Amino acid sequence: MSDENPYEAYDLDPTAGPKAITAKLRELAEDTDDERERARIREAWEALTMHPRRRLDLALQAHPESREGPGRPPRPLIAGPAEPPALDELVALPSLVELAGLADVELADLPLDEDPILAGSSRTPDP
Amino acid sequence: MTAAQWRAEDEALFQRLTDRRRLERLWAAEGVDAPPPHPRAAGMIALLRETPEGERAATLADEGDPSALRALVRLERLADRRPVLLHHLALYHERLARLRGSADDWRTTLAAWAALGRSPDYLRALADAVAPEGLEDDAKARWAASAAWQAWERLVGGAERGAAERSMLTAIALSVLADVQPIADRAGLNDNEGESLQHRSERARVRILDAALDPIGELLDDSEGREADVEHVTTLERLVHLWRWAGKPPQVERFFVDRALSIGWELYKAKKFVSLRRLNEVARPLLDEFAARIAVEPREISYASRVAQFMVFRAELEPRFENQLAAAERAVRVCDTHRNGRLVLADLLSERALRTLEQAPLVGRRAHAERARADVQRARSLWPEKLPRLDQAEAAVAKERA
Repeated sequence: MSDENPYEAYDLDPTAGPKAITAKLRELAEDTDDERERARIREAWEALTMHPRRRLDLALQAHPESREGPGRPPRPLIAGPAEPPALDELVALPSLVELAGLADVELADLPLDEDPILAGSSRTPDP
Repeated sequence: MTAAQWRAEDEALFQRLTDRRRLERLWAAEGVDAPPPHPRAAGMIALLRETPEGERAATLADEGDPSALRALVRLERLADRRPVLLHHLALYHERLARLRGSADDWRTTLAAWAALGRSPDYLRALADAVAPEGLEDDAKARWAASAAWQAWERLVGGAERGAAERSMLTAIALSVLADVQPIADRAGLNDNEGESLQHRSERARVRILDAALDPIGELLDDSEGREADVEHVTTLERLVHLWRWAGKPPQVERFFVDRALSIGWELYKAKKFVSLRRLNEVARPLLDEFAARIAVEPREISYASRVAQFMVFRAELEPRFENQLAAAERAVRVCDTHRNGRLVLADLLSERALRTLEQAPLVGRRAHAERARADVQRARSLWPEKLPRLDQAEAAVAKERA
């Protein structure tokens, strides 16, 4: 076994217990084609599951898990089916031109950058 | 449509990932050519962030300056810290100590482990969590009581294994264990715990030095059947080198005297003065230190006569009369009942009395005669038995007075 602590080398939770450790290590062993790595995994498995005292010593030499858990992922933001329009949405909205008192303004044929409404004023430009 | 929200869980995940980046920055600042510790070590940063000081240090690390964080993981007082933080700190510094080979890192990790050792409940809970089955309660209790000393054993065991080759770890261990008060202070140990740490360190040093002395002892054992000569002196030279390398420990001085005295006598009796002179020169600093310690440490008194004998050898080998006399004086100072020391000093004092009278001018001889008389008197008090040169000096002084 390398010098690295098997709990840390294989990212195992020391408090997970022999069953969970066995499952994770089996998965890792199945995923590799490297015989030497497989032997290392087996060695780690023996150290962590066969000898409780050794398991304790190795847990002491592994950083404890003191971080806050990653928590529940947020629900995905999915737009639902379009809801039928409400009654008030069917009512014709008041004219903003009228509300602004611009209904009687005679609009000159001007380029957009000289338009009095866009310029924020109803004043006709000086000739 | 559901509006996006920044939940508490999102903040926790964000901090968890950021702590991992902070850990990497902290590790990079340590200047060690090795990958950072396992991501779980980032929990140490989260624990440090629980204080405003830690929060500031983390912010600085985010801005690219991990120096405050680096200072924070080197807490001067560990006594009131949470056990889980002590556990992280102990592992973090032990990793550094192994990679960097520095006595300061070892002191820091041993202090963190010692402080953690004062929290048996934490260690017991760890044992319950890791081995809920397979170990009896009392076995887990015993483990929890001694677990924090495992790092100590890793240092001492490694030092023992490397002692014969005088490894760097051995040198570091001897230096760290020579004074464990800084460790006790940092860990906040009480007087009893501090005393226990002191005894533990003394025993550990003995073990390490024994391991370093073993191969030299074996060489001396092997050469015992052969006539003492250069080979023996060469082996004793190795012993003196070890003494110097290990920080001049008294244990090596005692070992030297135990093994070298018989070799010195053998060389003396066989009149192998070249080898004896070489031994005398090589061992001079070691024996001087030992002699000085005997003067102030009553427990070393059992070595007084043996160290005095080395001073007698020196008195006989020194090329200059003044140095001969000084060595003989020292022999008697180290052990005032040492027979050979008294004999040689009495002889040299007689010689000085005779020289004084011989060199005395015709005018003003009285002062010289007085000095000669004082030497003869002292020589006689040291050696009441018959001694040719003393008898001769006594006669010369009497003649001078007449």
